[in-house]
Amino acid sequence: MFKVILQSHWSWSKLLLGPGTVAAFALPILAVQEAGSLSDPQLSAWGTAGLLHEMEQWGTWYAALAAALGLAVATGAWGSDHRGGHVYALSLPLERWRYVLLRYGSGVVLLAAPIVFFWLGALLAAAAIELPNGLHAYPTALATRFGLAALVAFSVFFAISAGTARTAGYILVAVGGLLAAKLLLSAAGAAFDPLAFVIDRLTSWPGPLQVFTGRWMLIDV
Amino acid sequence: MSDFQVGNGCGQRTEATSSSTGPPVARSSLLLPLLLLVATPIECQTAAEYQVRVDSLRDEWQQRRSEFHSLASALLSDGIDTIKAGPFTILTDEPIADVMKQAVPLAWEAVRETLRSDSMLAAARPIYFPTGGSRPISSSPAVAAGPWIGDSADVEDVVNRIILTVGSEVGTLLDDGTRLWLGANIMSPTVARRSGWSGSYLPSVYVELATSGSAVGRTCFAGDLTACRAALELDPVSDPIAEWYDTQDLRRFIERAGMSRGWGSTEEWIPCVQESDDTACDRLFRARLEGSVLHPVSPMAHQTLAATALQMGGDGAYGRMVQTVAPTVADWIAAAAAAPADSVVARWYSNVMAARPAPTTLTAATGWSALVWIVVLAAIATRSTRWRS
Repeated sequence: MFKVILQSHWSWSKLLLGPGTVAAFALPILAVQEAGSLSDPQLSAWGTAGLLHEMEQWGTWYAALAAALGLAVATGAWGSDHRGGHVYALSLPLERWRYVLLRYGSGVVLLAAPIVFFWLGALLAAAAIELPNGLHAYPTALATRFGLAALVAFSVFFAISAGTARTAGYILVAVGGLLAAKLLLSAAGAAFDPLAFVIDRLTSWPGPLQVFTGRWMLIDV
Repeated sequence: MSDFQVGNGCGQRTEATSSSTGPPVARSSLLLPLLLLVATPIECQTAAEYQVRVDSLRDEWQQRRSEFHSLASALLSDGIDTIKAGPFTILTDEPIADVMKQAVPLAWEAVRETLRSDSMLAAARPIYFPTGGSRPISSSPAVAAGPWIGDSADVEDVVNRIILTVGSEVGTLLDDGTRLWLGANIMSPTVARRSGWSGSYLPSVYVELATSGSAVGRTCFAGDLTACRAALELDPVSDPIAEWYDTQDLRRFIERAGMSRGWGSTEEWIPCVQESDDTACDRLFRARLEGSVLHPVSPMAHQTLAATALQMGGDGAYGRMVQTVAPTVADWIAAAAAAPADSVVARWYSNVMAARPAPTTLTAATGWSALVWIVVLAAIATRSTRWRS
């Protein structure tokens, strides 16, 4: 059963998952290449601070790729079901929650490939550069963070997609309500911003999106 | 002030007390050894001399007090309150007297905790804190001028301002060169701690040294304490650029600064950057700096060194810090620490290395939080609303 679900999930996701995996492998290498020539060992005067600054800039791309992969795999998990009106799922002699978990598991398996390739790319980038005294490479920590971020993004979009159109409607209404509240309070001259408050709670510890924020540093002190 | 006779140790006395001779000689020859036995060698002055000194100090104290009182009387006619916490005296306008009465004891407590036995440095003269619309006053030997305090200032803010003003007052006791080297109010760490900041500048100094653009900074980071002395500017240097930077530093700086920011014309830039002419780089670098100095480390590193010296010096360190007239910063640091400057630098270096910041790529809290959310969201997905075909 799981194998069938995995195959169908792969067929719906491969167009995005393939290029995403290649991008995951290439990003760390591009980051190091951009920050300091892979063939230039003289990362000395004024180059070290610049290297760290470049590393920090590339963190945005890592987070974006993790989110994009999570979204791609999550939509691929439920694409066929939504089109078929969940007929296949409802016809199976299987509890709904088991079916959902099987779908979820297939998504996690498919995400393993870009995560592993990201890790390999980070290892290669770290090995290819001669670091000045005082700096260290953290390819495994970065890959772990990438993997966790991709899984969090997949889980968020999977949970939303697993529901009905009504669920999606509730979420849209909630977001719209926050925006409306922000506009009304702003017009009334109130200092409180509900949208910023919610975003802050989501993106700071222990919010679900906190793994996306902060510094994604392949090379640091 | 009378002149005191101090000859060989404290044995000499003036004719008023020591010239007693005469009969019976034999008795005094027996008594003299006894007198010498009970004599207190520490006493270097006669009672009369001591009285003269006490009188002069009393006169000086009375003069200062009358100056203070006459000033206070003049200010009181404008509605000035005097608030005291031990020897610490604050003058303030009536509108903010209530908040000052709460703030002054707290500020004095914080100052005492920092300065310890040198707390009297903060109480050398009263400090006047005005509020809006009051008569302006400039600092004088009798009273120091503090910053303006708003009517709606809260107690914590006022406490911090008082502490910083004390720091400024103590800072005026330093010579200009030392004050410039330090680059900060010596009571800033006290205010930072009161604001709940439990960290230190050492992690930032670690990063600064690790990413230093100067050869001397990088060599210091690698463990060369002589380079650390140079990077911290403890000793005067005749040619800072040559002492602190190598040719690669200058070339990299010019290359990154670029011609677009005025760092050289094409004729100056190309020989330095593209043709690797060290002389051209040196000439261009000096010409653009126009005699100013590009310091190898920031004042933050200086402050951490001063903090290390004060910590090593223990009780009395602040007093030595402001009262020592030292030809170089190294001497000043050594005086504050009551230890050689090299020892202070060594301790500072080990503190900086121990303060290496934890990598920010992935913390345990972030990792575990993400895992929990993955499980929670998966569980939510299994419990979502029912499908209908």
